Amino acid sequence: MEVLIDKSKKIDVLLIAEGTYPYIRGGVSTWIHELVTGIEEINFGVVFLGSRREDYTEIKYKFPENLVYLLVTYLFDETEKPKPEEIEGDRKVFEYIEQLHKWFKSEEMPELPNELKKLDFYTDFVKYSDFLYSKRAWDFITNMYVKYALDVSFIDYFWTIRNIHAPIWVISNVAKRVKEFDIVHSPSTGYAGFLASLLKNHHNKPFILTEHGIYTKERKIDIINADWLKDKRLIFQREAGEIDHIRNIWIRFFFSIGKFIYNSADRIISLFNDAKEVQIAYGADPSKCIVIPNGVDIDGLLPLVEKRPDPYPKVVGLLGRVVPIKDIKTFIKAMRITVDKVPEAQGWIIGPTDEDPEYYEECRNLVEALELQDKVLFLGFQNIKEILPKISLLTLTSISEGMPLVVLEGFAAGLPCVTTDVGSCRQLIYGGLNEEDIKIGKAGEVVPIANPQKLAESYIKLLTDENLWKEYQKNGLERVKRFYTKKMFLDNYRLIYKEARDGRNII
Amino acid sequence: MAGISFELRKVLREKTISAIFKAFGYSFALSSGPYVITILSLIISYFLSYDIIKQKLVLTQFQVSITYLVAFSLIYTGFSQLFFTRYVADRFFEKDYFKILPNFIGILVLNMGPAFFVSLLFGLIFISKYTGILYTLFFSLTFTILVGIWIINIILTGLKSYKYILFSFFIAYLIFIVASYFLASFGLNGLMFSFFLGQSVLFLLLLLYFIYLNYSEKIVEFDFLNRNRIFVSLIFTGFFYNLALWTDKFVFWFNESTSTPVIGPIIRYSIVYDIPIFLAYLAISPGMAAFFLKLEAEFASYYERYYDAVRKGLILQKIYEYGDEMIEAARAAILDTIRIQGIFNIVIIIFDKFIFDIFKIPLIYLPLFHIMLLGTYLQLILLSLFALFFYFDRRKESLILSITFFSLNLFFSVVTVILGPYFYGYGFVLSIFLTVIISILMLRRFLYEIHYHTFMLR
Repeated sequence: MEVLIDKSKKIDVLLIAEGTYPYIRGGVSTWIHELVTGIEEINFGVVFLGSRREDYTEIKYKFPENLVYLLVTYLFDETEKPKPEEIEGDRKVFEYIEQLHKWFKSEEMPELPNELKKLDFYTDFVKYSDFLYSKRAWDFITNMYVKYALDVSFIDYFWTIRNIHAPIWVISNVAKRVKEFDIVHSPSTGYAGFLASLLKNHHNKPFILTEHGIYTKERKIDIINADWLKDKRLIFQREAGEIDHIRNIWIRFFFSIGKFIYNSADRIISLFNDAKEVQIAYGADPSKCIVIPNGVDIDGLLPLVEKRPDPYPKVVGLLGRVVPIKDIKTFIKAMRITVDKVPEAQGWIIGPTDEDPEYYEECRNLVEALELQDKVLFLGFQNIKEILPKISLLTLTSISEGMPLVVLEGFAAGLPCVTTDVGSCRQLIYGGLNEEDIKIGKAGEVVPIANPQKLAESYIKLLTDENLWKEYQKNGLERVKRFYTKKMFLDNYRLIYKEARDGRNII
Repeated sequence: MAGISFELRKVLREKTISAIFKAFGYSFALSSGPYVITILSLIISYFLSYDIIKQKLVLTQFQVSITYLVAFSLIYTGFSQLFFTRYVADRFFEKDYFKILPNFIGILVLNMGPAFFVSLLFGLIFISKYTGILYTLFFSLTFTILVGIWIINIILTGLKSYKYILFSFFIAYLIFIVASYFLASFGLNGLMFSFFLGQSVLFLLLLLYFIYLNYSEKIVEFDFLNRNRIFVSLIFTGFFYNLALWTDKFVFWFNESTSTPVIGPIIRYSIVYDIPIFLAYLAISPGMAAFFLKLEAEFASYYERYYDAVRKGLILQKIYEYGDEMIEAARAAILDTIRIQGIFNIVIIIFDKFIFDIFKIPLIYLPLFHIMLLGTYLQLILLSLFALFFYFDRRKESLILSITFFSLNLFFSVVTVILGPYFYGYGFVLSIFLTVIISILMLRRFLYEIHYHTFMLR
């Protein structure tokens, strides 16, 4: 744990970044950077929770003036561990933990008991070295193993238990030592949300949670697919679809801290309506939940509408990295069908191709096999302001998205959008924020995932029916101007912070 | 490299008495060979040159000189032995092979350089006026060479190059015996030179073999002094361990009533103590062979199997099972060593007068020899226990035990010297006995919690 920046100014809002800002570029990091840069009058502090020191290189962002504090720590780093020493461990402590565990196991999806919500529990009652090195901890782990996981590889079990629990103490240590602040704001649940919850409970300060994805759900998918958690049982030893014990431990763990975080948060913010519904299904109190969508800087994009030639070019643009999650192959197949009907149509794939070279190769082979060499082009990374006027239709074929800013940017640049039905796409394209939003009307089409036929139908419709295209363009422009500007996004958070500080509801 | 265990297991697989004897003989040669060769060569050269020199004092001067050189060079290299072995082992584990040779040269330079100057200074101050400058030069050169030999020897032993070591000792001491026969007419200087010649050959044979085994682009490096790669406790364990082994002898050498000066007032020997104890050391070689055999042929494979089970992710029940079997193998190794040496000691006691006659040793030493026999017997057990502690990388216990052994040995030896001749030897026995008891308790405690240590504290 080290403090990299401390300008000795009061921290108004403390942001907790788990594996994102300022070391890794990406959606959440950009979001944090825009928030901090945008709300100049507020002083921000950032706590970065990384996995291991060697997983990160240099700081990727230029810090604004109002970022007054930066603390970084690594959850799985050896240097955060106390020196190994032989210790007995307190009998009473472990008897108590056993009680907790029994109760924890008996619940279907348990909620964290009150003792565990307090910081002192981790810093004074059960110390990190007790957990790591005491004989009682060892006895405890082996007893649990014998009771619940007898057929699992022991070393995997042992390290799962360690790796799940270890960050808790690293986090408690941060919670003890972090500088004073007014509001804590976490852009995810998980470990970051856990730290925010401990801080809230310990200092009795407001806690705001913004979820970009649904952490608990994403972790569940990660864990089920994780290669390193090898199920060493033979195939006939497990039932079809059964999740083994170790994966179950992880899932239950994230579920119960997720619930704890929802309960601790004073505000639970999601980016779009569907996400809010999922949060409520996962145990969030509906009265705390609100939606604050991301916004885009429309001033720079609006002039692009005029730059587009008339009649509009028959070009469908897919903005995104060439990786499997974006399902580029479905786009290529849809283009084959489109070109059959609209021979002059083209499909441009705009985005870096170097992230997954193997997948890129497969995509190019598919283009060749479908004889689309002069119809589907890989353009690599492009300046958005130059490329958007050259296309007339924006598309996303992803199998998973949160709230894709590119759709909003497309709207602002006068592009109707055709996307798969993932994340907030339906809300963005059909309108779903409120009654007013729905009234504006459609700004494109939403189709099922992995369905080239349906995609192509929408492309053809929009490439051939200019009136419809113009209507969608108009709707998109109106929607982004009314609900999704960067100014609105920032003002919403200004309000949220004010509300939190004054201790009353404004929204 | 790990071929020895494999060879021994192969021999033992035949399950006949002759196979067991073969394996035992092989173990004997590999474990105690160099040591037995050294002592036997000194005895042989004693008888060969006695006819030529016919001066008992010169021969005693020579033998005592060699004893001093061996004792002090062992203690001197004690600082480096364990920690550098560990350094080499770690580089092997990391597959960072190119680091080994230059750092090896580094530690040789670091040891042999000061060794030469310190021993020369010592010689010039305390010895040269009694025996002349040539003797002093041979004295410090031999000391320097011995320092080098111990370091290569322990590394090559660690690499399990037992056969080559044995071969080198054989050649070197053969050269020494032949040279001493021809040079004995030059008196003490002739003998010293022959010994120096033999040791130089030994040093070169071992060094060239080590260079042949390793490769590096660099000549010399001092990476082993890197703060992150050094295990400080091993430096002191090595030192105290070697010091403890000689403490009782020092007490007897430097006490007026139990010793006689040989060269000046500083180089002395103890007529009452030295002969019985060196015979008693010779007597434990069968036990050492037995332990070596058990350790290499049996324990090592159970040890590997246990840690493999841990690493490869077996279920806990199997880990416990293999752990128990490994502990059983450790216990068997110690107990069998005790049994075999016990039987051998009984045989020796039955034939003690006969043995003394062969070596022309006065029977007056017999009672002390019996006590010493018990002492070295216990020391054999202690050595075996230490070997297990090192195997399990129990650095803390090793350090505590080596310091305990040294302190007890010093204390009780001084006490016995004060109490008088009837008590000679009992101090040594008692100190080892207590250290053995403590070691066993510590080993038991550790093995009882071995899984906890393996998982929680590594």
